[in-house]
Amino acid sequence: MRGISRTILAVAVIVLVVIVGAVAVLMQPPTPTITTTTTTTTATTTTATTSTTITTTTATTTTATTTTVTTSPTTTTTTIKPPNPDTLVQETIGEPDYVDPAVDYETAGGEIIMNVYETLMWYDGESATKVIPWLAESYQMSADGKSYTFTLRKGIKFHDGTPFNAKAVNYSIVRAILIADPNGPAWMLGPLKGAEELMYSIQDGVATQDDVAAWLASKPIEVLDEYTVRMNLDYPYSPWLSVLAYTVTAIVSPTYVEAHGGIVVGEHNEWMDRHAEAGTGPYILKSWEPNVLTLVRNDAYWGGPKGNIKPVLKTVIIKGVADANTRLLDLLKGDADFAYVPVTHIDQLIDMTTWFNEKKIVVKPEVADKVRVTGPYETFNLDFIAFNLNIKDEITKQPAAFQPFRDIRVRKAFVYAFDIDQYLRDVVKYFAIQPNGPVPKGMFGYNPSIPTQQYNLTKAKELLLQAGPDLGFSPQNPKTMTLYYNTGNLAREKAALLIASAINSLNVGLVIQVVPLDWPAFLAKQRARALPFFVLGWAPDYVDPDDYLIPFGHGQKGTFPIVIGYNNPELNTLIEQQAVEADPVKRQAIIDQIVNTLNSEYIYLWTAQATARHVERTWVKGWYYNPAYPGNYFATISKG
Amino acid sequence: MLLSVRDLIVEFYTYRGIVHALNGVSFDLDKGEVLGLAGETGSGKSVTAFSIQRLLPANAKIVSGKIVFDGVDLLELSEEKMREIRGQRIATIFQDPHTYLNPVFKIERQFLDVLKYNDPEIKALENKKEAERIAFEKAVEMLKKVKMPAPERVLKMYPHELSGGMKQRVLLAMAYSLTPDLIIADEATTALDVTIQAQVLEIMKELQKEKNLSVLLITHDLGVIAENCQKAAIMYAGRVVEIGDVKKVLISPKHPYTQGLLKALPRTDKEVELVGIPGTVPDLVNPPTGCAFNLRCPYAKEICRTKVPPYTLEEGSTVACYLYGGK
Amino acid sequence: MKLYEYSIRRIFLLIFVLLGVTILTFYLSRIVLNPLGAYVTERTRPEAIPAIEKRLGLDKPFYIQYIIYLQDLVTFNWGWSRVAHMPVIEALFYRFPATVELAIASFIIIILVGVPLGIISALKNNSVVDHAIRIFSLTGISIPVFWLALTLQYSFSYLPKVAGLPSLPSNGRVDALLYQQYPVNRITGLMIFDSLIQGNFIIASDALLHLILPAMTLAFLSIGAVTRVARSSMLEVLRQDYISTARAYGLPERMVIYKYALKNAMIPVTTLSGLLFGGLLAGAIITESIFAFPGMGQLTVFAISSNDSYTIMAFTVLASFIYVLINLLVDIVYAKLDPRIKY
Repeated sequence: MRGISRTILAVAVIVLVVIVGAVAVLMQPPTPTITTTTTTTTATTTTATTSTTITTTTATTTTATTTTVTTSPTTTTTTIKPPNPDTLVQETIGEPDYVDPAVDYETAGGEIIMNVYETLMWYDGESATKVIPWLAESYQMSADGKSYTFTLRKGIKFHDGTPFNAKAVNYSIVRAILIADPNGPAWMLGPLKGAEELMYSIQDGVATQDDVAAWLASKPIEVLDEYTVRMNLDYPYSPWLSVLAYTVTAIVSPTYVEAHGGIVVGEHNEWMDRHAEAGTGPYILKSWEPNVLTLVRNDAYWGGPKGNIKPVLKTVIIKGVADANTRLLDLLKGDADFAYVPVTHIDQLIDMTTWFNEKKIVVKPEVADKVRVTGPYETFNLDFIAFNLNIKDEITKQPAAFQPFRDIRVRKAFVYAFDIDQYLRDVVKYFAIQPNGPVPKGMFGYNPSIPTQQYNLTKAKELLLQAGPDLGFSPQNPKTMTLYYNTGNLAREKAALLIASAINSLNVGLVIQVVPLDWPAFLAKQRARALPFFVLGWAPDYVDPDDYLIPFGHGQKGTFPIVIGYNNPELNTLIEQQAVEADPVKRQAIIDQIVNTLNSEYIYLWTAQATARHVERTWVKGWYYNPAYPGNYFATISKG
Repeated sequence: MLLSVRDLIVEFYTYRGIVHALNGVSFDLDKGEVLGLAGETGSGKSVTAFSIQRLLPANAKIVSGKIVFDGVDLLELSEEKMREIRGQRIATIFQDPHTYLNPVFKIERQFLDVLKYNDPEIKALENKKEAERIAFEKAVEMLKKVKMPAPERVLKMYPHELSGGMKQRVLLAMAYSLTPDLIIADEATTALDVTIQAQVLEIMKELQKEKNLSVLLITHDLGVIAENCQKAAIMYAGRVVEIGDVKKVLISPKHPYTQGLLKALPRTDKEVELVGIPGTVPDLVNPPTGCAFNLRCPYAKEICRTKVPPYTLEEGSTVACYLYGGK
Repeated sequence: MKLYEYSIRRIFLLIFVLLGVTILTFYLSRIVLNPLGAYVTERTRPEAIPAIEKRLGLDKPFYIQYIIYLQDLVTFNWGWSRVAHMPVIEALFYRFPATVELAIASFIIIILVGVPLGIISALKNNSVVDHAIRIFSLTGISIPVFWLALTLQYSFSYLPKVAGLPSLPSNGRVDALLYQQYPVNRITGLMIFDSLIQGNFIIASDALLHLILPAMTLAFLSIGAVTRVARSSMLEVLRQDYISTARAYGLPERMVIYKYALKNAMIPVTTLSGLLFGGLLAGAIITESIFAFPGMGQLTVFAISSNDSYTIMAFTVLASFIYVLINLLVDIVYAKLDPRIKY
């Protein structure tokens, strides 16, 4: 009896293993034949032929080499009809922090704000280099560059029916300044007369009612008449128009805000944080449930500067789905129209061999009739490694004894030691390009002729061996340093490991330990100036090289120079100069000078400028990429 | 003859090997008779009781033999029919009242269920409520018979709220309420203290006389057998070695084992030396060949070691011993 | 009466449990770890930080901070949750009922599948069926959650849809479009319950469909445990003497097993179920992530990894409350099942 039970047990185990194996096999992507048969053909001969071309090319691709794939149907007209043509479903990771333009400073919220609210100036379609008047009809800059007068468009209404006018412009911008969220984008309004000072005092908790009243009385913004408004700056600031294209200056309905808590100095408006139904934009935020945001069409949308923007989609649903596989499955089954597909999963949609060899995105034939992948697009996101010239001990708060990065030879050596090609190929899978400086490609100010940093391990070793005796490290007497990165970002982790192992392999007496920190701990260490060198990224605020030159170059005002203790007064002056230079040619020259100076000092190791891809269902029409956009603009999109 | 057991052989399958629990048990029990089945622990008394009820555990097997009850061989019956016999015709009272009542149900539930499923009158009632009521009344009546104070209250209690003696009386009441033909009392009073034991035996005697029941009284206490039984059977190592009139068996025992048992009992009338039986009970996984007692018997002969002694009649008692004939 | 007093006493002790747990968690999240991380970014001016600290009350000594926290707690001023992007109370009010629904659904599946399997396994001890069931429970405990979740998604949500058959939804709590068309007023927060009492059957059935895959995933992991316990408990009970009594008194076998044996066998199963349910209420992180189900599990993980102290404190209190209540409930049920237990 027992012996029989044992055999049966063994058989059951084997059967189970077989079942598991079968399921694993089944989890391969679907074969072409299945998908093509489900195409609902509005039967015309043309569609018949296109389906046959699909089948023939897939037949060949299964056996042939990748060269045949270039003929695959990237331009096939799809015959699959969307089940819900009025609704667009977007699946992405994460949710907005806030949907209040005055305080939101990240891309998820920015995407909502961009569709619900509008700004005086904005980008024209795909171009990120030029801003055009949007809610403003025209503008005039004063001769000294400190004053901008805007004539506003007439007849535009907010979603609550109240009229868009100069009072609303004043209200919205003043509001952002008075809330003065220290973590938010309001700092960009600093150039406005007295604004920076007031915001600092509000953030520091010392501002009084009188201070606020005095500032308002000083007329930083003047309402000249119902449709004319003038903004006065403390100093001429050429990026000001770009700032006016950023979400922080989005115009909100004063009536609405007053009805829902008004303005409280130094405090968020909790209602506005979570609701966005008082803008002028093509969509209204109908509801925000955990993980799900629903936008509905503004049927009374004014149409944009050319009057030609008529939003087609009635509803846009944005879902936060944390798992990449779930998003991918939803995309493939048609439940999602847009999906964020990370680098780790993109190989399920595009042919990686073509990508690696030719840097061309070609969708895999078996999903080509369902999914469209476009790109690569240069984003303005810059990843880098920064060297701390003034490392402080976290506990004693005193400068540390060992300051290797004060020696340019060490910095130069580190830059030489980074195998940029390996990084781009293996870590980001070529979904990034090597930056040549702080100004990203695609932005005004970028100069392609400025050379990129070179990988040269021999030179690196030479320099370190030279510098070693002066700094007190040698192979016999090694010194350890810690490289920190923040957890949750795989690319940064790999970059850190790459440079660490490179330096360690040189055996010059410098030993690098790599330590992950969670984000709050990382920030804390950064504030304490205790990071000897660190890996980080920078994303654009407004689209102007100023937004990069200051944070990387200005010794007194720049986020990173302050942290790493880099201050080059000459550079500071140059940076301030370019900010006020109106002539683009002259400005470019100054910028070139700045970038070259910075590069020659080897303060930063430029690791990557990310490129993006866009994944959508083939039935989606009208999407375009603009690197200045925080997210997708739904007003031009339709399905069908 | 109400019950006739012949050559019952029962084996238990354990990790150690096959335990030969019963090696050919035979005895008869007549209507209205009280037979005492005595023996040490491990002699097979309880196994016999369970075998008659066919309530042996899953790893036991009745290899061969006959158990003829009222003309029907119980070993041939289907489980269905056996269930009808259990309770209604043969009832068992077990040893440890503490573990033989379900702790999570009230007494009334257990008692009434037994009545509802066995008592033909109550079973026939269509109306469930009516059945409950009648059964309740009957239960109260039976509890009174076993001299249980406040029977209505007792029925509403849980087993752990009653004393050992009270629990045993409940089990008694349950057994007798079904008016079976045969009651098997398997060490029914062993777990009770002496005074309660006496009470319970008293009640059993009364009930037995009242309904003229047959009782198979299983115990290791020879005194109990002396007081309550008409016949006595002595078991050793899975066999009945001596069986006969209780007076004959206990006053003039024939089998050396019985003699040994009696010698080991203290007497109240005069001082005698207590003599134990040398050796230990045999291992039933490897039982000795021939007579199971041969290793400890003072009179053991060659033949005792090789052949199992048959039963012979000797002065009115049936004995399995080569001292009394048989070759 | 005794039981009632006992319950009151236990609930009273709950307050002390809460105090102890909150002091410890508060200490950890405010003093040992720096909660500031959740409230500043890398662009925050260092000069602005002292004001932020002041607003969060981080500049005060620990006991004062704690007292302020207690005051806020009882006035239901639980702060703003950075990770949920809404006031903490709102976040809990939405997410906790979601987890409750998921927990109840999983629990029902676990009990309805696990207990009968365990009993069958016990009744057919050592047979093929028994072995099959034991293997099944082993796979339940061994299979990684994410694999199971993804497989279920693929099998029941993707494949049928691609083949044109009706399919189960793969993520979320309710279909966003449907919810727009047929909104439900949040009364208890339990989507199915609220929509049923408002007569909104469309949403009720949609929410139910959305629960199926995540509940199956969660349930599968625990069915094994329940089956094992039910099985061994039942085997143990069937060996007991009182079962012999029942059989000896001619009771039908069906009754012996399903009435007499079962009640006894269910006692350890009840204890296990109670703890299981408590665990389900704590939220199932991986399952919720894969199915984008907005429950407590997700919130918990985000809050802890960002050291969002308001959220952490809130769900600590909530979790402690739940555990004490569940334990009390289990004890009460236990006492009802086993009359030998006296408090």
